[in-house]
Amino acid sequence: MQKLNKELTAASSIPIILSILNQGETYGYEIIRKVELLSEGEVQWTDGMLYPVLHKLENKKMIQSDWRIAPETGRRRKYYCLTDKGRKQLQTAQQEWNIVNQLFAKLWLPD
Amino acid sequence: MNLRTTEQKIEAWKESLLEAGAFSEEQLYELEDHLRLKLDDLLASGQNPERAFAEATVAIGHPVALGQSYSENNSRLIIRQLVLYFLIGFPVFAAIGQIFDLSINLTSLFLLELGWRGIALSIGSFIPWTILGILLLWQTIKDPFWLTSLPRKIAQQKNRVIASILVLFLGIVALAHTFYFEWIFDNNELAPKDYLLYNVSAIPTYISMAAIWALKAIGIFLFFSVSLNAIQKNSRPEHLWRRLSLLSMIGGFFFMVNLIQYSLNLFGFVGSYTEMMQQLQTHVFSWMAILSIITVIFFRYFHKKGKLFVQA
Repeated sequence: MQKLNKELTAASSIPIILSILNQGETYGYEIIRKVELLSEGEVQWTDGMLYPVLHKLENKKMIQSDWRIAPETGRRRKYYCLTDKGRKQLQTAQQEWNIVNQLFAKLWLPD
Repeated sequence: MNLRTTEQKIEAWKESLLEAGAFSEEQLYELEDHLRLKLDDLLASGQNPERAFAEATVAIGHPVALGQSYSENNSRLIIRQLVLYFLIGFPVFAAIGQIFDLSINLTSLFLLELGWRGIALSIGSFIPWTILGILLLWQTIKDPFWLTSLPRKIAQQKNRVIASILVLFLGIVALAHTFYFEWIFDNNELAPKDYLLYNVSAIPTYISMAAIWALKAIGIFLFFSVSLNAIQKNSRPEHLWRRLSLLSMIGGFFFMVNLIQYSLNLFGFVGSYTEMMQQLQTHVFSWMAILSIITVIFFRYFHKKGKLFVQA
């Protein structure tokens, strides 16, 4: 099956990140793995590019982070979670993507 | 898996990121953690260690692309680095300048004693600056990143105290030397106790001097900003190009400082040096700067044509 193009990948990255964080706090590597798993490999991000997006969202106060020791490695790890502002942004994004989704559903209905 | 080799590879990978853009320590640590997790997963799936490392770094992204992306987000960090450069560089260069002024005077006096009056001043100013030039050239060839990695090295805890003491010492030397010679030149008729009174009456002079130093400071800051930006944008590992950029930066630094001072002297502002000495220095620095700029333009032209460097 065809993989998602660059433009759509970029446009959908923030709603995807916010949606994953809405399920609970997590860290960068786990976000990448979830995206790969849920999309069955069709959505592929360059791993390192996730972090500048996360940092941007953090600067905009949509998410917040916390450094903690990861139990399995004993190394410090940065965990991210959603803020109220991020939750509101996610609701807006859901409405917008639903509009697009419904439009395509109507347009592509079999005659 | 050879742990030592992997650790070395991770260190080298981190170095390549730092050369490609502006990363904070935390951001670098976060990326390192990601790399290690990816490596663990690939090794657990039975991947060969060599291939696992290559695959993990490719998955994270090319250092240059990451560097650009992080640098765009880290404008505050870059400004902090530049301010640090400025804060460290200014007293250090000022002190070096004062120490070399002193050596110029001593060399000239020595040559005058030998009766070589005609060439005393020009040779006197040439020798110490040539020594400084050779030292900077040697250091740049030995380690092309010595200047760009300076803030990072100083940020390490063990170096902070030494760096603070050194900067403070150099700053005090520079200031003491400047004010001592100002006093010698301007107040040789005055007793030390009258110096304070003289200072009060000379407030306009000091205001104009402060303006000169402020202009120098702004100029240095701008020059470092432009140079660092140019270096970051040309941060692919063409080492010779980077060395030349740094040399140009050093040459340009001296050129700019002296050009500003010379211009201010021409317009009748007060400078720290005699006019003759100022002109001699300006010529030396101008030629140094012009030569380094021509060299850089020359290499950049051939680099663009793809005739000079092989990318590592």
